[in-house]
Amino acid sequence: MRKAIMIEARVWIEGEDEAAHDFAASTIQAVREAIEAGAAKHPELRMTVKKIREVK
Amino acid sequence: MILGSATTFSFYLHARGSQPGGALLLGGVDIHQQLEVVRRRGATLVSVLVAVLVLGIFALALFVWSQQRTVALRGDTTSQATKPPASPTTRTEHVSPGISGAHVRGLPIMARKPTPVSQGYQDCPAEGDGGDRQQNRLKNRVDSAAWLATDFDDVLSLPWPPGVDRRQRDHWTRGDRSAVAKYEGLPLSIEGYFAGAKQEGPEASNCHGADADFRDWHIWIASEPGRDRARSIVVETTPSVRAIHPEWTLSAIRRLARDSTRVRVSGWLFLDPEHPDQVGRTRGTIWEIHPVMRIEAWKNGQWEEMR
Repeated sequence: MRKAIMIEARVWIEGEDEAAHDFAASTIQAVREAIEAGAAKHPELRMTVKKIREVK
Repeated sequence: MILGSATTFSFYLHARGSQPGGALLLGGVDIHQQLEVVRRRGATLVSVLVAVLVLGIFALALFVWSQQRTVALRGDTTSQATKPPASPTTRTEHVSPGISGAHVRGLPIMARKPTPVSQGYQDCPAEGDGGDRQQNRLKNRVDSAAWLATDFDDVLSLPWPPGVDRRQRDHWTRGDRSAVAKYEGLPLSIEGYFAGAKQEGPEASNCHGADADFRDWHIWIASEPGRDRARSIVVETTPSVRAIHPEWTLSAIRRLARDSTRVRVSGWLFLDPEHPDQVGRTRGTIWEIHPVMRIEAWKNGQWEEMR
């Protein structure tokens, strides 16, 4: 049986960065890459990142 | 089209110059007559183009006028009643409380509002580390003014254009920008009762600083003690202003809330377009006092400033 699910995750990220550097942009990119890298461990699943945004 | 007409007239003049006063026949046809027909058609075409241009300008002017009138009417509608609804039931009412009734007559109008003086905090510049940098600068202003005493309900019921919801300022229309600018940046003080306070999460205006002193404080103020936050106004303290007010602590603010002490909060009127969905739930409006520049508490028959 083919299944599908839409998952929303809240991720807290901390790290060192230059004060004026765009932290939101770089962490969103990091999360995207982390998911893509992790997806390779599950070839039976097809994962597509639809949207990642900062929660305010 | 205009270039084509010019070429035709040039040819016409050249032909008349070569045969003044006589008929110039080409294949048995009087070329002067043909050229006259072309000239008349050209003149007609130019007239039509001018008429279309004039009508276009008129239509554009009408459109601009109607847009401005729409914004003005939203404001006027608010003058019909005195209070916003206790619990609006539709998103339209949330987005534009003015439609559901309120007044803004008590708010002062300043022809020239003070120019914001913004300041960063520690390594973080006033424009923050991303997001809406224009908005970040407003949140991080540090200048003071002669605060204008304003009725709580005048701020609570102040309308805003729905087009600004969740949009960065550089994407606002000129009309929306103008409607917000009419009130944003007013130096106001309002009286009421604290209804709670919390530390905000990391945000772009504070360079996403993780430490507590890099966070804004989100404080609810209500017109009466114990009143629902759905009819509250959010006022926010910022790191750079708090740094010069050692008495401003979350526990002190919560104590004032618990004791139902009347407070007077002064600061800059600011529109936060990011939370329209919370209107009627955890706040009464997206207009805020942000940043808060002065907090006073009514004690022993007088206002005492929290230093």
